[in-house]
Amino acid sequence: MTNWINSALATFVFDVRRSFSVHRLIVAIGLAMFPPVMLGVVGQITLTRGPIVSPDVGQYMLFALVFLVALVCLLMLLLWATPNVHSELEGKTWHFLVVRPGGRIGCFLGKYLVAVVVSFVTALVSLTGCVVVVDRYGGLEDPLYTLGCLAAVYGLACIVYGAIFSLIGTIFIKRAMLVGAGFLIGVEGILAGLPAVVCKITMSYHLREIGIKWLDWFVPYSKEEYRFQFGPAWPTWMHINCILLMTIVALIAGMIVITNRQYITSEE
Amino acid sequence: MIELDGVSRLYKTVIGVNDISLSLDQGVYGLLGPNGSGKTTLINMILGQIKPTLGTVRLFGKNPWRRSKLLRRVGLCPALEFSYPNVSSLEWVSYLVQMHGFTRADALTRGKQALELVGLGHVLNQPMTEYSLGMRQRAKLAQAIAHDPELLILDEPFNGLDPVGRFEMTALLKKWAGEGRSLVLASHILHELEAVNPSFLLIYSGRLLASGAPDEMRRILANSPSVLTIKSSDSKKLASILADLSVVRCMRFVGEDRLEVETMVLAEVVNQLPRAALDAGISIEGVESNDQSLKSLFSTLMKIQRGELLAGKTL
Repeated sequence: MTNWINSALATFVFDVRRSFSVHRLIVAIGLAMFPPVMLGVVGQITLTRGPIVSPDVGQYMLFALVFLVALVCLLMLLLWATPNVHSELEGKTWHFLVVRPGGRIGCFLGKYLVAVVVSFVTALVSLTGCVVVVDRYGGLEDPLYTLGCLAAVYGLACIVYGAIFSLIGTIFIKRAMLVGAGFLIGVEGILAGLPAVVCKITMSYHLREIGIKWLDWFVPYSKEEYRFQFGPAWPTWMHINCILLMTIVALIAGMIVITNRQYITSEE
Repeated sequence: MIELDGVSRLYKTVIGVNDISLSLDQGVYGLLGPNGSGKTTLINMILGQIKPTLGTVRLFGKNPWRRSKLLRRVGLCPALEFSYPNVSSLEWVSYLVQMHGFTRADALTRGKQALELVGLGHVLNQPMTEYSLGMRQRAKLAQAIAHDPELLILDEPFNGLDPVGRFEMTALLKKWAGEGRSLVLASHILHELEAVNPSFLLIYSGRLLASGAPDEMRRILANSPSVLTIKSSDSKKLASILADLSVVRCMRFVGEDRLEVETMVLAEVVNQLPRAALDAGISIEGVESNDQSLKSLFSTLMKIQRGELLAGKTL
């Protein structure tokens, strides 16, 4: 266990250091700045058309903010977490790693940590920019509180989706990113939107519930409509536990797969 | 140290390794075979990276599959060429040493020592992308020895090394073996292995054709025919002249102007060829030795396996 943790931390440090390049930094900044710029443009266009009259405008701005930052966050996770095994196989560095006692699991956990940290930092930068922009157009009552709540929700999202994508990366080597995107659309998008019990197995349902609790946010539903369709609210700790449980399950499953699978390089 | 009992490995319908049984005690071994003969598959099975389809593998007396702790005692230098941008050899080697459970400080010290040992002490903080092929090869060796393993397995370790580099690598490996540690060298080039003087394991088409001490291999080699390809102005006439030489075993035409001559006494043919050609007024435009002592050797061994040849003499 200690060796796994040490190896994971070593992989984290090594990967962060080797991944730091001007090109990657520009991509990350570009992605992080996309939501605030979009919101700024929308806000500016709205203002030029006259004073804002709808009381829901703040809620809609918040919806756009959540959606756009989620897009950035998930894209970063897809880019960093799903190629965990594939990048090593393609880079022909896999064999150097796996002939070490802590190699396979250290690599898996270390790359998971990198994906979570990089995605969360990008999401946080993006989120901060968005909150500043939305606040400029008078859409938020307490910008700092909103920022704190959303940062926590995105932190949880990075933790759980990072684990799920890492698991996908160990199973589907060549098409991991595609499978990850399919999972997001199919399970976390469509299934989570169904007003049925099955939506409760999705992580976006739990994240949404936490967001609703903390931000009292029901766009595009009314509170009554939402509760009628998705059932009574659970305590927040239940949702957090579901998310953490899913994270642990996905990480353990990933460790089992990566330990037992015989990965073959293209040369072989 | 390494025991294989009836080990076979299939990649779908392709046989990677075919029914290999062997037992290797501590020592120096040369795993010799042409590209695609199953050397890397065999190494991967020994290290527990892939499971044999049939048979059992034991490393230090234990099944290596999912026994990652055994890997602490082994160092592997794979044949694969890799590239990590933005990474110095010291960072890379110390990172890999940390995977063995060493602290960062220990890993850095060991990494530095290993890199100095392979002659990269002056460039250990330089990005590896700026290294030559030979320097990367040495860095690969450094990562394999940095944790001080009992058994070192090197897959094509001489790839990309210049003559000086080869000499230094050989000296290093001899020193390693001289310290009583075990070494398995996989290569497709015979003379590279001969320099380290190992016991040979000859593998071809996934099968272990022969194994034994260097002298034994030389004895088999001495019985392997050599092949010369001669490009001349008149191949047919040349063939009729060479047919009279007793040392020529057989001949075949390769295209219009080339003649392939198989002989057990290469030097004799080479000595007699210029005079014979000159007398007959044939101009020799080129002579190529397919030498490939290894190719000849494997061909001989395959014939022995098929029963076309007895070990040591022609049927």
